[in-house]
Amino acid sequence: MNSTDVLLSRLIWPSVLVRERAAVALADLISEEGTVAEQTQNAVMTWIRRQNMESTAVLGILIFYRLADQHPSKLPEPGMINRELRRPSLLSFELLRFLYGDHVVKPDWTQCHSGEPTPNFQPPEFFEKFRNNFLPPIYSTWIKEVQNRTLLPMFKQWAFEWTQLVSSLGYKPSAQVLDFGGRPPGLRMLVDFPLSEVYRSAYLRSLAWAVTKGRLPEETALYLAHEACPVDLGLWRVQPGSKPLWWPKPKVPSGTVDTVPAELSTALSHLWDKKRDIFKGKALLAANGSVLCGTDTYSLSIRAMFQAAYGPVLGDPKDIMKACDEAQGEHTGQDVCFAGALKPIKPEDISLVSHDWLTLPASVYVRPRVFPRWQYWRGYRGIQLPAPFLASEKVSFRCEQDSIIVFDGDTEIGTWQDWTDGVTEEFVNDLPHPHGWALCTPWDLVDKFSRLSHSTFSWICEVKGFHREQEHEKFREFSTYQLYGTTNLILPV
Amino acid sequence: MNHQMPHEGADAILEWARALVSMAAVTPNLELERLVRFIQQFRTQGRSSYVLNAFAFSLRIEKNMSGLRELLGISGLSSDECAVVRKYAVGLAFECGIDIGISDIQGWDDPFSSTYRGLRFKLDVGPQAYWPAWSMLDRPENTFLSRRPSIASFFKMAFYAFVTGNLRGEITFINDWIGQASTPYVRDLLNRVNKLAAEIATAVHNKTPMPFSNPYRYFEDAQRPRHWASDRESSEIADGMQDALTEITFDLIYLQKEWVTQGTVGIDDMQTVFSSSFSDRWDWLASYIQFDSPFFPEPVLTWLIDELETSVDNTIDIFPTRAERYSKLALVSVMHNRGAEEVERLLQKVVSNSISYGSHKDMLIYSMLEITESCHKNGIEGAERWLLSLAPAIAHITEFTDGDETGYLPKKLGESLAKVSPKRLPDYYLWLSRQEEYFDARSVFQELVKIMDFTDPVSRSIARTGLDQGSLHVLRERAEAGDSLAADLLKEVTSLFGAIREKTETSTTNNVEFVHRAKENQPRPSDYPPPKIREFLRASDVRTPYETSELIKVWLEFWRDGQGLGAYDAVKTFADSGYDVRNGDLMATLARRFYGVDEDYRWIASANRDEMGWSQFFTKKEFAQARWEEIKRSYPDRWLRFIQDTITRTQVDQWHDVSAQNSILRLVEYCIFLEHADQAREIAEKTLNIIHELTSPVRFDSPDWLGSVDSTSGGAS
Repeated sequence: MNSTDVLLSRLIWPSVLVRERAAVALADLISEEGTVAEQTQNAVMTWIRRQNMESTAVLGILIFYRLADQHPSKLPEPGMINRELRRPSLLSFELLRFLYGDHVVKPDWTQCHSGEPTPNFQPPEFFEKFRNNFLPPIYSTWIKEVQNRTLLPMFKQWAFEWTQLVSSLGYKPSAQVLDFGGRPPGLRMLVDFPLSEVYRSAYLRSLAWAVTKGRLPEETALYLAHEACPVDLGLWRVQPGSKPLWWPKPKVPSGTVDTVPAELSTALSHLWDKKRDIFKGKALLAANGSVLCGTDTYSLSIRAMFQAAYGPVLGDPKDIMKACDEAQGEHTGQDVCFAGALKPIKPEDISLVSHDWLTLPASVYVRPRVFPRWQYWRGYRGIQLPAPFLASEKVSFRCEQDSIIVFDGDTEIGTWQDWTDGVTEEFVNDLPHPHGWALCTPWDLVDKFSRLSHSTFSWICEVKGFHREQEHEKFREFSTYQLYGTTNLILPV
Repeated sequence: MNHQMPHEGADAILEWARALVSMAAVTPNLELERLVRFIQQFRTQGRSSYVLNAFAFSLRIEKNMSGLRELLGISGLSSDECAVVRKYAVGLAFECGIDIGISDIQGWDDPFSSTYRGLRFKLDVGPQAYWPAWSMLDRPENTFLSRRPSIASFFKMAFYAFVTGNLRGEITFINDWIGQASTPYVRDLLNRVNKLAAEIATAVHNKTPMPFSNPYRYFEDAQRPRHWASDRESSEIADGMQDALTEITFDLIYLQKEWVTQGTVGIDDMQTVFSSSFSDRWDWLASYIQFDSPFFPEPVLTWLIDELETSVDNTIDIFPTRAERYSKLALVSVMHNRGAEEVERLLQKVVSNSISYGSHKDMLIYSMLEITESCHKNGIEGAERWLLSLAPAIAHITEFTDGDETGYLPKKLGESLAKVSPKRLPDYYLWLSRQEEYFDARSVFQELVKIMDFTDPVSRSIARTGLDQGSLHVLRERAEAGDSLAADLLKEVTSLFGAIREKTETSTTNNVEFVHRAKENQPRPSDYPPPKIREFLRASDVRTPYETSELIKVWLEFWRDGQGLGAYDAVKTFADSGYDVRNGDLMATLARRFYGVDEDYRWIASANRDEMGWSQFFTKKEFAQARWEEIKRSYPDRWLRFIQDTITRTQVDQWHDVSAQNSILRLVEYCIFLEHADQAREIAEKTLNIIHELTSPVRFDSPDWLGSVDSTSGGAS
């Protein structure tokens, strides 16, 4: 045993954050000069060779993705990883293709599953009972979807693959491990156990089986296999920053009166008034983040919108915020790296008429293909990009070292940056994570759209509070809304 | 004697007084009148008979009839007090076949004396003038003392009264008296006692023997509450009846000598006694031992010892109880001169159940891990071998313990490995991870982070993955201690995840609150200069010994600088008068300052006792070690005596319920500190052997992280 074994063991440690750090640390070691790099690379190759599950073998490949992303020259020659891979899968093929392009030989999918279950095979009770405990329910959703569309017995196949793996690896399935860490009730942690990997690998093998049956197109199977990738390769590149200076920082109330909403109101007014200075000449299109963590937790959401009034009755802030939250964008990217082009959206598809107001969100939520399990906080709070109708040409985006950059043609029109504020392995159920992000865009884009649409640029802000008297109680959630820049004047068209 | 009186409430004083007068009974040249005056001090509490009973009982056990005669000759004894003494004088006269030899015995009107006169001298005993008072069954007020002895006395006295009454044929009188019983349950029990007495009267008339177990036959169908809580009153009455029945049975052995030549005891008798719901075999045996007049013939005795020894062997019970039971059997064996082999066997069992591992045997492993660390740190050879030999048992700890206080052991093993055998820690971590024992593995990982050399890039990389609170805490500690590489690692975590909020541990404030409360209520020490400690305490409203000691501390600390000598003298005088002043460490300091080293030993010893200095779980090592330093400096020749003087908390019944289990670590550390490394190693190896003996019934698989280490040898030679 040497210490590299300990480091490699961290790659399959239950806590997903630890796995991510281990992958990064190993990639960094390989990128170094000298014997340590060679020794580490050899150890990783040996480790990949020893992996007898598809989903854990993928973790080894991710080390090399990280290496290629940060130190492209250090990437080993094509085929080297492939040679070590005892358990190729749809996902490993996709990742290697991402790394080496067409140099990668496609695995023989018939060798990537266990074949047909025996006629009298019955899914084990344990498999059924705990499949949504060891894996997120989305896996079951996808299997169901494939089963419905292909009429193949996908659940049975999944269970069969699971049974084969459990048997060949000598596992004694037990749910006892789910209590990992003896956590107090209410605390959560994103974890993957060896049995999670059995479920996950069985999922990948079932998809390969469906492909060989000729009922599931390979491209669809590859798309579904992405689910087993623990990290979005694009977002992995984006380093979270630190909390911006302008982000409101209310004081913890010292008495019995909750002073946070009032403090936030003052801070938001100031932000709005000084917005052209504070954001360095850019317009804040959206921001979302926690402002206070502790006994009382507060989260703030700022959403820019274009607003017009057609009568005296004010719009309902709650409805307006809801419409903003529901404004979804779609992108063309299909792989495990968050990048691509935003599909066009008609303003009327996401606008809202609330009483005598018409509001139009200035940004939309855009989801990465893969839930970034290794960077779970990003998955929970989401990512927003400028609404495509603000641009004149095709809107595209890509992940950079510290932000997601959005382009209108070749012109940069938006920057999404996030920050962490004490993210840990464990988090409290029902509470927002100590994390935040902000999306900015050039003022000329906003001014132009405002002028053309005869609307005013404005903000709606929601302060969401979470409070409980006792630790055993559930958190009580409450929201207050503030509007900035809205008008009751009926502007001439 | 007054000087030694404890200051712990009336109940404690009574028990202390009983112990004292019991010892006085075996003291030569005793000033009897002075002792009686001491006992009669308790008249104000209505407890002089209770204390006198202990003294008279001891005289009777010592077969000291002259002492009892002398006691009966002292003027001024109340009728209750006289009855107590006469009871034992009569019992001894029957047992030894001697006369009490007091001329005015005709005037004694208690049931014991009446029976004595009737059986011994065939005298008409005359009408019963002294029946047991019904108040003996009352629940005493303002005391936590058991009413059981009083109830037992009541029934025993009633038995003797019934015997006399039946000899005189006063059946109606007896029935009328029984009819006055306050509850049907007491009435029922008295009727059974009376039937027994009637049978004895008949046996006396017919000169026929009475089978030994006959008293129990009258109680075969008697009811008693199944549980104390269901009917406390009846339960306590039944307990007292049970004790009385034991004594009556013993008395009958000798009473019968007055009308038949010899009574017999058979195995069937003992089976009847032990199967009775009014008999607890171990209480019964304790009474037999206390009675100290062996009467079991063979083969009853062999049967009795075999039966009871086997029952303890095969019964799960807490170890002190098991030890106590073996010790009773050993005593019975000694009483009957059954030879060294049997006594030694039983004493071995006593020792192995008491000294060796106490009531929580699996906790020994925890102590052993700490011992291993301590020995390794001090250069005592073998520590790594001992440690590794414990690994198989720890790997399977939840399979042979319930996890209570032992679930922590795998983690503790990691802590010990980090100190004793750090090179094995990575293997242990990997093994725990493979076993999916993540909770323990995480703790062991933190140990790794503690000891890793961060100049090694791989070690640094490993530390980068330590994102749990414990690992981050270790990094912070290393960084704060000046490790710049740890600081860099911490900075990286912060840049990625933001400033990590460390969990703060909430401390319990109970003691602090108490001290504040005590201080709020206390008088000002400045108003009570030395020697007015008594006045100071009297002015307070403290009740418990702890509160009192806290207040004495406040007073001592106030006066220690300005009038230290006076303060010390006052508290010492107070302590000499029997008060439990505690504050041994403070007093030791003052004693050294004003009187030199010879004066402070008693205070060091008392501090170590009071503060449970040998217990690793009750006192901080620094406090214990400060006392060891003084022993090392001033009393190196008393190093062993210090252990003897302080190993148990009480000095009254020093070796009662002794268990060294929680003290082993401190004993080893003490031996090391006092430069007795050989003794330290001997204790450590014996402890290890005991652990291996205790776990020997199970063959544990050796965890593969041990490699080729022979983990089954135990390591101790």
